[in-house]
Amino acid sequence: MTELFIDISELAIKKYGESLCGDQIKTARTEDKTIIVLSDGLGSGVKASILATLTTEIIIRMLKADVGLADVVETVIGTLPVCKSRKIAYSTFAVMEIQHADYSYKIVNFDSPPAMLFHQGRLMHPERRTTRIRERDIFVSEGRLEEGDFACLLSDGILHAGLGVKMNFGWGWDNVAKHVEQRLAKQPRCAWEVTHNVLAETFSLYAGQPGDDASIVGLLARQQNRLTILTGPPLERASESAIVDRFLRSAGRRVVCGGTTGNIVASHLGTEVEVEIRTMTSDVPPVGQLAGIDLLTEGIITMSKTLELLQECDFDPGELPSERNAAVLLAQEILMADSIHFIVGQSINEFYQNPEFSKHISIRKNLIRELVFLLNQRGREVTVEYC
Amino acid sequence: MKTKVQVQICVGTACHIMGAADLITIEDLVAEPLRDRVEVKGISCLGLCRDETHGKPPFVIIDGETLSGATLDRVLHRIERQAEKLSDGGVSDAGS
Repeated sequence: MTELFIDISELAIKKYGESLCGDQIKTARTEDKTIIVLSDGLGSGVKASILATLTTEIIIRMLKADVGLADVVETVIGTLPVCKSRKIAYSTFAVMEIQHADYSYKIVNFDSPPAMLFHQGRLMHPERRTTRIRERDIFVSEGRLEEGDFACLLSDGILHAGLGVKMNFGWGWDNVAKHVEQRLAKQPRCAWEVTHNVLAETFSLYAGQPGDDASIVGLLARQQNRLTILTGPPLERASESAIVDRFLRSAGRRVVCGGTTGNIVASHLGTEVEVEIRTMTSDVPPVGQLAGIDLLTEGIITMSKTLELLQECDFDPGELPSERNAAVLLAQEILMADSIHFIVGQSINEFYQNPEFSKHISIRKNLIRELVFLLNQRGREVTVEYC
Repeated sequence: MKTKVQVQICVGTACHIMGAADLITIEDLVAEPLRDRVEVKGISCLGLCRDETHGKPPFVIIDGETLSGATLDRVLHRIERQAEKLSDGGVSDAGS
């Protein structure tokens, strides 16, 4: 069985004018399983937010403690208060649990929009059975994830987008599913590309003033996105060829950060670097082109700028500047990667020691250390080798 | 016959910090009659900053000749000189 990476992206927007989102999403990964919970508190604002938080917390904690899903649902439904006038629970929820051993999944919906499941880019209609727990109907569907499958749990704020603004009846479940199919046809590299697209459309249908909290959590079963970054010439010239050769054979995407490093790789390939001079700004040196390399940038200035951008965008690719420059492209490569391997050459350019110059740049090793620290904090698998 | 003055700006770290990014505007600063006869490109780090004998960054290569400590004025001047040579038919493609 192919080993799959369970890529999860969760996004939410709050009702216009509210300070808190009444939808809550929580995910957890244990050794054996991945758990996703989305809860929508009745109404909006603080009360909705507290109820949704309570619901997601109870479910996640119990599932992490290996309590059976049926028992968890029973506990939550028994705990949730019920609105006296409308006779509905104060929060709804959807849960998805995936077993890592065989990627089998179980989805449970309680008063929430049915989860969507896509196989080979097409909407699937897995059999849903109804179970009654504490006199409430619970919908359960089960199956097994395969590579490329996409699943999403969503709140009704997405289905109602556009209601009375751009549409008579709101966006609707079927139309949202079609929208996701269209996005999946573009072969997304990560779940975020889909969730961000759906939520951006939601926001637009609400004309920028959402009439309800709207949230989505998407899951893409895929191969792990690997990235190898080669930066800096190796200390030993004799080892250059072997290092470049290994870099060029690395799995996943390949990025070179460094002018001299780029030249070493180009010479190994028997070619030359093409510079896209128009991508140069006063802050960021230009992007280079080299066959077989996904991105070629200058080294220290670009990586410093990328570090700044990653901090500023808070790891949300949607918050990166829209201009196409080397630092933005490097940040995009990093944000799309699940595991990153740095090959750091330690050869030092003597000119960088020049006092009139050295104040402008960090030492490569320190810069890599800062980047690695940040990436580890954000759950990326990072490895570094010095040469 | 070669018809354009080739300007290559080194875009390595040292050159960038020492002002290479400003030099990209050179095409716009060239006087109108010469503008179509200048081609500006970026070139990956030339590595010249590693050896003091080459002078200081930023480095620009104009029709094969290296200019160190390049400023807009100095590059403009050199472009005009090369363009004159081209007009006189003194520069050919051979060997360039």
